[in-house]
Amino acid sequence: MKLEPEVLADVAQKATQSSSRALSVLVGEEVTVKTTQASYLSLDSLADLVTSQEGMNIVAFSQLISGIKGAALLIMGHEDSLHLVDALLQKPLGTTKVLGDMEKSAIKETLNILSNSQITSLTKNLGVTINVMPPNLITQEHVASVLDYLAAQQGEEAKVVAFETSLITTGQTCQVTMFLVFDAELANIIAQQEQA
Amino acid sequence: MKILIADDSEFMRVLLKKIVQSAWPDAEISEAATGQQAIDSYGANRPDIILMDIMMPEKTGLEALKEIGSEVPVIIISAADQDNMIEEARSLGARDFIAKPFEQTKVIESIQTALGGAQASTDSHE
Repeated sequence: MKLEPEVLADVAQKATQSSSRALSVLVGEEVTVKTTQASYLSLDSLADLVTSQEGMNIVAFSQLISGIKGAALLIMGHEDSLHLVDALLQKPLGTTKVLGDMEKSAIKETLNILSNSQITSLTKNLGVTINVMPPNLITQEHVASVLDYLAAQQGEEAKVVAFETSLITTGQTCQVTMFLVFDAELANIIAQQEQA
Repeated sequence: MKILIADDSEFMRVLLKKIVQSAWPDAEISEAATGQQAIDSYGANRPDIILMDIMMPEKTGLEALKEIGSEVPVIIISAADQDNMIEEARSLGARDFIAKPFEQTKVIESIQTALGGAQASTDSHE
C-alpha cells in the first residue's frame, strides 16, 4: 500500500481547521494553526516525535475505538495549561494557579472537543467510524505507556497515521499540541479513496 | 423549570449550569455524571428537560435516552457529532443535537424550542 504524503497532508489540513475553530469557540478568541503535520510512521518514530515536546508536561489522553483505533493526546506546558483554564472558565489571565479537579476537567474536555472536531471531519470525508473514549490526564512520563498501549494494540512493527497540530491563541498566552494517532487501516482507506 | 444536566465532565456541567441560570435564574438544576445517574435522577426528580452528553461511563447518553424514553424532552450535547450518532439520537427521540463547542445562545434557544417556547430570564418556568 502506497500512501502519498501530499494526500495525507490534504486530509490532515481539512481536519486541522475544524480543531482551530473549536478551540476558538471554547476560549473566546481567535486561534491560529501554528503547525500541522501528517505522517505515516513507525511507532518508534512516533515515540521520538511525541517525546521531543520539551517542557510540555501536561498531557491529556483518550483512546480511539470502533472502526479505526488509536489514541489522542493533548500536550502543553504547565503555564499554558493555567492560561487555557483561565480562558475556558472565563477568568482574567493569571487567575488560575493550580490545577484542581475542575481545572483538570476543563483540560480533559478540551481534548474531547478538539479530537472529536478533527475526527468528525475525517468521518465525514472518509466514511469511517471512530469513537473517542472519555479522556484522562497523565504525566509526561506516562506517555511511554500510551505508546506501549498502541504497540500492544497494533504490534511492535506496525505503522500508524499521526496528525500533529499545534494551536496558539492570538494573544499568544496559550499553545497546545494535539496528536491524533490512528492504526494503519486509516492509511489503507485514504490510499484506496485516492485511487478510486 | 426543573432541568437535569448529564455530562461526565465537571467543567461542562458547570458551564451548562451557568448558561441555564443566566436565562432561567429560578431553574431547579440536578446533575448526573454517568448515564445510569441520569436515569436514576430522572426517576427521582422528573425534570422538565434533560441536557445529555453521549460518551459517559456506566451507560452512554444514548443508552440512558433509550431507557428514559421520549416523555421528557432530551437535548443531546456532544462533541461526537458524527452523522450516525445524530441519527441514532433522533431515532431514540432526542429533540435536538448540539455539537460541542457551542455558543451560549444555541443552548438557550434549543431549550426554549424543546419546551415549546419557554421564555428566558424574565419569564422563567417553575
